[in-house]
Amino acid sequence: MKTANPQRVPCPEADNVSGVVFDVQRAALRDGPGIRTTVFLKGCPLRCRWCHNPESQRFEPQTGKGGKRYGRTMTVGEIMDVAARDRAYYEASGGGITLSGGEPTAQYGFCRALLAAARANGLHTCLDTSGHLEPDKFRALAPLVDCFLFDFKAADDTAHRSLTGVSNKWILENLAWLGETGAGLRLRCPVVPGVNAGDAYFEALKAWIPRLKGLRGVDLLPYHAIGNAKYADVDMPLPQLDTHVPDDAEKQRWKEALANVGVEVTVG
Amino acid sequence: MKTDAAPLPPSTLPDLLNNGAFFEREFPLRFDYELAFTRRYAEVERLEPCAREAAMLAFQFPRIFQGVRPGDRLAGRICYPKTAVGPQAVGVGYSCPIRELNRDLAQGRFSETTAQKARSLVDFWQSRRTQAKVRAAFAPEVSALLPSDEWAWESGESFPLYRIAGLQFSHDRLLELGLPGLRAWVRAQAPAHAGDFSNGLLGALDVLDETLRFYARETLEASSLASDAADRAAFGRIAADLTALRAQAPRSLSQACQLVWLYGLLSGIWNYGRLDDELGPFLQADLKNGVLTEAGALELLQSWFRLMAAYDNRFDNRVMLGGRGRKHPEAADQFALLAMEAVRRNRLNQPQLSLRFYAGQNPALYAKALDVLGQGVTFPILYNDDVVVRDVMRAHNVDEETALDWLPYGCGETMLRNRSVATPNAIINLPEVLNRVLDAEARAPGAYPAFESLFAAYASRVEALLRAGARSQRTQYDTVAREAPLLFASLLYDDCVARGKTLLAGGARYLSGTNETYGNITASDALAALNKLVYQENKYTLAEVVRALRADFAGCEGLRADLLAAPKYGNDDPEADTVAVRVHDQVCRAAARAASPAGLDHYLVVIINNWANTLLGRFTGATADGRRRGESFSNANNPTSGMDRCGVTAFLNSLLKLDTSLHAGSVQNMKFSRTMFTRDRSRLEALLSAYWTRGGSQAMITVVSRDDLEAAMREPEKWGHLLVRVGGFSMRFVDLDRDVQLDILKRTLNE
Repeated sequence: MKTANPQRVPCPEADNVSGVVFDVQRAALRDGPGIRTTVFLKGCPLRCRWCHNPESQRFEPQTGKGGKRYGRTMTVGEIMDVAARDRAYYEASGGGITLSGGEPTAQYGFCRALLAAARANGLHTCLDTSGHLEPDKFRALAPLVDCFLFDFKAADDTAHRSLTGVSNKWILENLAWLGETGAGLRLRCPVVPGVNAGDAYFEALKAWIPRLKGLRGVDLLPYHAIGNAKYADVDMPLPQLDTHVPDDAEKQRWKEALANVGVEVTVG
Repeated sequence: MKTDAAPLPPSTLPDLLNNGAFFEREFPLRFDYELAFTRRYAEVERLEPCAREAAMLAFQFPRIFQGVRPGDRLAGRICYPKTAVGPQAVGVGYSCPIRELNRDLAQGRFSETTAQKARSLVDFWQSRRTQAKVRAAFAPEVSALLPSDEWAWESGESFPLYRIAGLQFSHDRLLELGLPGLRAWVRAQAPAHAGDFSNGLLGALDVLDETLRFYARETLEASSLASDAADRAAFGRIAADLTALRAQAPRSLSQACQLVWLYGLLSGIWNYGRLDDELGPFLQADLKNGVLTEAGALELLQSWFRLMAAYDNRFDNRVMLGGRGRKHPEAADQFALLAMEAVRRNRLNQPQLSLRFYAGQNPALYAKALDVLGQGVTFPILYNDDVVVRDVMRAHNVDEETALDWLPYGCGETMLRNRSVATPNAIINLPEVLNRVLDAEARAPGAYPAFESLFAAYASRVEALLRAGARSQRTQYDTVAREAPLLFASLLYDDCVARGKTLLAGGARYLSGTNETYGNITASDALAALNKLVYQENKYTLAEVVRALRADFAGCEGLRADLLAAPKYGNDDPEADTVAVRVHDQVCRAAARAASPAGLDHYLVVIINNWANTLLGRFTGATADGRRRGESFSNANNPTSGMDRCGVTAFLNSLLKLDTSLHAGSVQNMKFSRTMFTRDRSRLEALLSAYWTRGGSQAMITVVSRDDLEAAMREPEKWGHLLVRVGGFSMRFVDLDRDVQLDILKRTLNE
């Protein structure tokens, strides 16, 4: 996009901040309410064993073996130029902009500048995050976010370390804080049968739900193997997981496990 | 005017005709009917135009009608032979498919007896058919620019099309007066008219009368023979309706539908206008008076729509619902809801049910439309009256009240009901025009030192071809007016009877014309790629690109990859979209400028699509957008299939940059997943709502999954129910040629 979009409101303190992005997906329907533009920020401190975006893990742009480029440096202004083009669709649908990753908060200054620019443009914001961030930094982002899409991967710290490579101490502290403040929130739950998800997982999830005052829904995200081919392209070994792609009956059982929790539960 | 040729007994009709329906590919093996038609023509050839047409209509009808079949709730099935008179059924005016006959003769497909008959048909009609007379009447400079008529079989820049399409009736006068009233009305005005005109109209009404009589007798007989009790009762009711219609104006919904349908078949007009407003009051009265139940009305409409599908004018068969300017909105809404339900239940590719909607219209109509579309029937086609009425005012230069009576013709060409004739009588292949302009570079390298000089050469050629198209259009109208004045249309069209003139000889208020443009986006993407790679980045010389195009990119895969990677329309990309807007504005404005010099009230581009994007693509060499020789073009104003990669919002933003008030219609195919209509229904509604609010004029929506399409290609026998929007028409996916199937598969599925 060479010409500036006249629909964009300039945000001088943010527009020139740059970061590494591996995709800007327009007309996204699964990353928060309405029709959205999802910005995928590259780089992640976690190494989830089921990760299906291995190209999102490293922070710097890289080239796959097949020649595909993963990631490029963009300024906040450039991204907002694209995002503001779909303002009419956000307004009609209650949509807006979503920051995802990787872990979007890991490029902290860039992430914050993007949220600030979105605010300046009057766009609804979602932050799709693992929650793995120092709590004071996390709290500083909260006023810029309309709805958190907060991952719930494992309640037990030992399990969390083994599944993702990091402790869930910050994560649970941040989640508890969001719950108390009543911040808008959806729980995003990767469900990897036999790996992170069993009875204990659903029990822990049910225990957390009443603590989250602003909770708007729980999204169960069944394991799939669609991203596996990308491991080879970015020259990473495919993690060996003792799991399977769940069938409809299994998904229905998950939904039943969360019956009567008082919020919307979606699967898939 | 009565004819001396008595109708043949109905039982012999199918055998005598033995012709198959209009679109059937198998050619008949006998030409007895055609030779009899030809003999009759020879007898009346020297009569005045109206008398001649009345005589030939009286020969043609009711002979080519077919009897009712089980399940029919209206009479009116037609089987077109290979010679005919009419606006477009077999060809324009008096027609005979010379090319197909010659082909079949050459291939030895006939027995010697049949071959002799075929040869005599060819000899007689070669120069007498109206198409030949139109072609012969072209000015030499027009012929030089439009040298061939074989658009579907040859490479070329622009071709004439022979037909009178682009007219639709208001049936109000027909329904109000009925047959006896129309006769009295014509007679009352006859003293002011030339005798040929009035006698011709009365002759046409005699044909209507004879048709009613024929079908009354035929359905009565069918009733006595029917094995099914419901058929027996229905055929008896049809016979009674037909008899009543000979003596009076219609008094019930079934009589009104019957009269409209038979009149439509007799006129040869394939699109039926605003039936909801015209027939809604009959429906309302029948329901109120207990003449009909809602179930009975639905059965009637389903049957009528099946008859339309059997007529099989897949590019036409329009029925319009909704919209501003209806006289009976409440009754019309009731009819419209029933019509949508009938289409949902029938699940056929015809009629092309369409809905005009506007802010303030009963929201139940739009909601029902989305429900029906969500079930994958591709109908109704949606038109945003808040935009289209404004566009029609601008493009046709008419006031708002006149514009309210706009209707789309078969593929979506806008015209003014009962007032304008706006036939698409030419097509232009924009990628071929560009390629031939580029050929100058091969002959004289350096012909286009700057992008502007290339664009100017392209634009100038487009303009010359459009001017030729407009002149050929006027020639066609004038020739048809002399040959076959179209009596049935002249009877209902505003101004004709008052002026005492037939439709094309000064009767119709507006003599308009349209030119179908193809490959608009292929051409603009090609120009955008040349602009970037040749003129901005100097990565290739123009001569290098032209050489690669001529070689169909053999040995130039890197160059082709760069062309493909250049900005493409459909991604909300300013570079590509700016060129698309320029190509669009140029072709639209050049066409409009061509009207007046050609003696037309309007001449407008239509960016509709049948499958000509595929047919023309077959004969067009590689193009500078990276398309290989023979591949399909972009479809109407849609991105080249598969080239819109930034999501549906970006596609819609690109689309909305093209001014819809410069032309007579453009069609937008959108393919959505079933999930969008179920789980994401609210998002879909928001998406469409934003599109309409921002100036979207039209949408044709196919709901399908990629898996379904692929499965249908593997196992066509299991997927006969799968309907897709091809361009300006819908088809059973399994009936399409493989390259058309692949083109549809490649189009972006929004999910």
